[in-house]
Amino acid sequence: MNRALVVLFVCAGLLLLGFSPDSRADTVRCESSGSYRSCPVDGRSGVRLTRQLSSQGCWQGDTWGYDVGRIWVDRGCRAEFQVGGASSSSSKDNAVAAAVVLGIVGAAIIANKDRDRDRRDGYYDDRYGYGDPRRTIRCESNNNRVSYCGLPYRGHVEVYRQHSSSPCVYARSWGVERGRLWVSNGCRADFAVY
Amino acid sequence: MRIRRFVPVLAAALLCTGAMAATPAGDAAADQKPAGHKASDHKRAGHKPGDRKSRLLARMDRNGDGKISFEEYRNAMLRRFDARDKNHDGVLDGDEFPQQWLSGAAITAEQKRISRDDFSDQLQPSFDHFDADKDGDLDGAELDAFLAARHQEKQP
Repeated sequence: MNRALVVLFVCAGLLLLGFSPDSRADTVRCESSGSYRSCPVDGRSGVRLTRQLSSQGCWQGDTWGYDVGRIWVDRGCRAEFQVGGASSSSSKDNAVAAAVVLGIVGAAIIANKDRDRDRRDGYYDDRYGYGDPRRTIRCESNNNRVSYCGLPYRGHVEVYRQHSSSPCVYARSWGVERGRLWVSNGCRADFAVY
Repeated sequence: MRIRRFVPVLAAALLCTGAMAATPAGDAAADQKPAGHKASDHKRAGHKPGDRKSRLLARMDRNGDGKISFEEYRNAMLRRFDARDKNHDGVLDGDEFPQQWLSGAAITAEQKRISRDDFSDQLQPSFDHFDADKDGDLDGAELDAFLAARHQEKQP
């Protein structure tokens, strides 16, 4: 009888241990290939995006977010997230040295500007190579009404510059549907097409 | 190990060349360029059109508040890195490695390569370095400091 009770307590203890919230920080990878995706995690003690893997934007509350039970990602946001725990101290860098070097590099850029003028100009014509959008399109929802804007070509669309005080949040106040861009709820913005 | 010290430099250099690309010459094809020079933008940001800060904000300030948040910085910097990484292997090497940005500096990269992960991991430290008041945004004097390398352009 007594032994059975002890075994029971030990088992209960082990169970509790196994199911107690893990205070360690875990890294979770959650990736959208273009559409909405959710990854189950215990989000009660917070989630932090620690490393963005995608070129396509990761914007909290827009293309990624979390709640108590999951991390979600959308529109091509791919990233690693730290779930729970204190923020891990990332690799410390020599900031002072970096600042000094920065100034020197600034000078280096100027020096090279003259020396490599031709090459540089050629390079600058390659706007695409900067990661800047090929084109931006202004689309505005007035009086909270839905309006549509044409897209010049197929490509990944992101908010480039929001002009309204009303938030432009994907699927809520803007989106892409049958090759057209739509905005609503007062979202006014320049959209980038990559 | 040594290469890690270049990463903030590269980050800044990527950004600086980005701002440089928006020089008037580059804006000749205005219809093709991102619409970052609208009068309304500058009214909001409180800068004259065409100054360096405005150009930087036009490129990175997604919500139009005149500041650059870490999220805006991270997204812009990674786009720039990825655009330079022509063969999409997650490493800038060979012709992709921006050697010219390091020449003239009193440092030499032993390895002419930098991985996306190393670059990515330095984004927060480099941002924090310029975020003097630690409020999570680069604005005002912090942006000036960030652009300081570019200021030297005007000097002979």
